[in-house]
Amino acid sequence: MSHDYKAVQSTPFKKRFDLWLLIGIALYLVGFIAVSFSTQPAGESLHPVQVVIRATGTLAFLLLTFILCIGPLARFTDRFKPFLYNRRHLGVTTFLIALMHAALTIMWYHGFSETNPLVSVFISNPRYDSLSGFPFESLGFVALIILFLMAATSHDFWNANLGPGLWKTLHMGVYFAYAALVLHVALGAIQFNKDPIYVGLLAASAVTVIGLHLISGIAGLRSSHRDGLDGWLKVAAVADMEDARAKIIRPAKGEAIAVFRDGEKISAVSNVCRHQGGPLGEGKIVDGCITCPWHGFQYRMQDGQSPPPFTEKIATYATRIVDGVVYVNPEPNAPGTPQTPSQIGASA
Amino acid sequence: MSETAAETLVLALGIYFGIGLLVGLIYMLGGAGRIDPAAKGKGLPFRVRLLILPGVAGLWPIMLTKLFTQKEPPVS
Amino acid sequence: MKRAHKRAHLLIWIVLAPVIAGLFALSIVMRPGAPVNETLPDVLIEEAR
Repeated sequence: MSHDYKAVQSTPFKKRFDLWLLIGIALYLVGFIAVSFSTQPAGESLHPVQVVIRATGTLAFLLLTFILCIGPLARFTDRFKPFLYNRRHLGVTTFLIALMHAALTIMWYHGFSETNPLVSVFISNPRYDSLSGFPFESLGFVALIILFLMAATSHDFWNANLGPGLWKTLHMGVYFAYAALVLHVALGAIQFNKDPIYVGLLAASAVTVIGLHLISGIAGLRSSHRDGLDGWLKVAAVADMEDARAKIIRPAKGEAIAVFRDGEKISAVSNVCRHQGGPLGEGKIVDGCITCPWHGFQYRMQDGQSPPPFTEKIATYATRIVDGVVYVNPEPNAPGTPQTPSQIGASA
Repeated sequence: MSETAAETLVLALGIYFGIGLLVGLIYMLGGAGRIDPAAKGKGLPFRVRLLILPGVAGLWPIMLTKLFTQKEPPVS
Repeated sequence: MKRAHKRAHLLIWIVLAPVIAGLFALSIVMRPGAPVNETLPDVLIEEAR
């Protein structure tokens, strides 16, 4: 969909979301610093910079953990959908907090010598062949570079100009960043800090993220087994189809299909939005157009084309109603092909 | 990692991002509109141009090639 | 999300999961214990406790 580029696509909901995000971050940082100082054992003197390094480090890790849980959780419950649609703001925020953590670390631990601080990060601990003494800073550095590339390319301009394929591939780098970060903490903070809270949190985070992704990944590959009629797939009884909403059908081959009801009409289109691959079937019909829940891209129900002046096209599918039950032909029409909607009440 | 290796790595990163910033400036000054008609002139306000700069600095080998090879406007 | 993408996501996690879990477990097992100074007489250590 051609449009002017804006710095941030904003809706009242997104503004509220960002406000709560900032409040949450401020509360976490203040809380962490307060608890660190009040529980500090007698005789130890924590420097405020060290405490802020820990606060930002733990916050960035926990935020990234949460971000990575959103995708799989949103597939099991609708409650996480709002987070799914605001993930980009969360991601950029996480990068900025991680950057603060890195900058403070470099300044505090490497900034007071003759050596270039960045060079010092890589050579101050040369035990690259050891595990428990591994220079974990380098793992954090790798993760930070990946997070930087993702944050820097999170704007729509990048999605359009790198192409959805390359963009998605680049952004899958976050999984490697997360792996590097788990090890960054495991070989770093946890080696010196024997507090079981840290080990517990790290293990719980890693297990949650890995478990959720494996479970939802395996579940997502399974195509739902459906009754059919001459090779057509059963969607649902007309009575169970909510107006202006869709049912998502996953055929054994090919992409998922979104079957929409608009008043007395039933139409089916590809479930994959041309913009970023958003799930059209989770969207609504607005002004007679199927509207993607991610960024509001629109398609006409009857031919899968974006209304002029836009030029996007998605595949359409034939539908029919037999004995009050909706069926869809799993063979897609070429993108943008007009397809007469099935009329509820008309004889099949 | 030896000191020379680390110095080379940091220097290489510096040169990479230095060139990247230059390519980013080209993009800010109109390169973006060349590969993407939607990003021409007022289609890409200054704030967005600034937002694009770090990304070009990081991915400049791809973006520099696109400047010369991309003829078709992007899908989106 | 396209089906091919889903497969790529799952594949990445199938590779990453054992790597993360293995190295994490090793890092906990190999954590260094409290440092011991061999040259200090035992009496002094006892006294310090």
